[in-house]
Amino acid sequence: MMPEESVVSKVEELMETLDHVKKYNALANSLRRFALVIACSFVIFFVLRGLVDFFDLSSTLDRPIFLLVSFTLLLIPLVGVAAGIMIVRKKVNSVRTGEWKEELSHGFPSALKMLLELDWDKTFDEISVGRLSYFLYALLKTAAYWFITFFALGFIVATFAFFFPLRSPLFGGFLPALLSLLIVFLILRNDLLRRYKEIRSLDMLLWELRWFSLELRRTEFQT
Amino acid sequence: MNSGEPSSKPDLYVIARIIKTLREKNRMNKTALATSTGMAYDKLVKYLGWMSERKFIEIDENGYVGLTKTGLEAYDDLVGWIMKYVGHLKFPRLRLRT
Repeated sequence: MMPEESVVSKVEELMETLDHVKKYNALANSLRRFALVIACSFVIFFVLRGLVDFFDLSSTLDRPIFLLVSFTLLLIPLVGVAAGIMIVRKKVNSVRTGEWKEELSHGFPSALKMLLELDWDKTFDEISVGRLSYFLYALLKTAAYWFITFFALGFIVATFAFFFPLRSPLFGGFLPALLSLLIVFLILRNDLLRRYKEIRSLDMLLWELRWFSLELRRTEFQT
Repeated sequence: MNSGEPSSKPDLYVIARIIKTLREKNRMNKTALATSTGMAYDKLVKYLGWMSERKFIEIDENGYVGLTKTGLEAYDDLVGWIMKYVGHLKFPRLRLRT
């Protein structure tokens, strides 16, 4: 490959990577809404659960109907998480990418122009914010799954107890919380690992670009 | 370098564009060169003056502009200099998961 083509190819890679960074920023921008939607769904869930307890529906309703009510309640946070993810996904997918392709098709001079005109400080901020938001997003999502699993376990135990009545409670205290955390960890293990690797990749990208921008700023081409 | 004063701080992009065009099309008159590079004629003339001072180009008596060996070397140096730094960059494969 000619040196000029190599430069263009490298700049193309850089611009593609920065397009990805834009997506992380879109996620950062929708993070508050994501958290709000999930929080609202959980608040609704807890309020309705509180009402069920307040009116003592567990003893007034028939057991199957009560289980149906419990299951329906469980759908509320699930819908909340799904809606939150959809909001984030919509925002991320709306990011425009590849707008630089037409300009880069003009070859080396355009690649040079892009490099010289890049706002490096803004890019570094975007990577940092994107990285932090991605971490918070993963944390929120895992916490939401943990809560849902916790209450789903309660529902499963209640259903089990309906068919196989036991004198003593099947489990209580910290056990359901720990068990649900373990289940969530087992289910999301690969996902969490990939997210961790991606955050590390963003870290590496930040260092690479910091080095490159410093070199670019420090050295002046002597014509 | 939008003021059209290349002697203070030349725009490397503009210089690279002029050299690239001249390298591809050999000798050209200034009007054709301005059209090919998409530059305003006045701005091009100022850049050509700056480049001529440094022997990057030569302008004959008919107003035709040609690239010199020095100009070609300067362009190759610029490409090499950019490649020296950009070539070291390793970009991670990012795949955002929602």
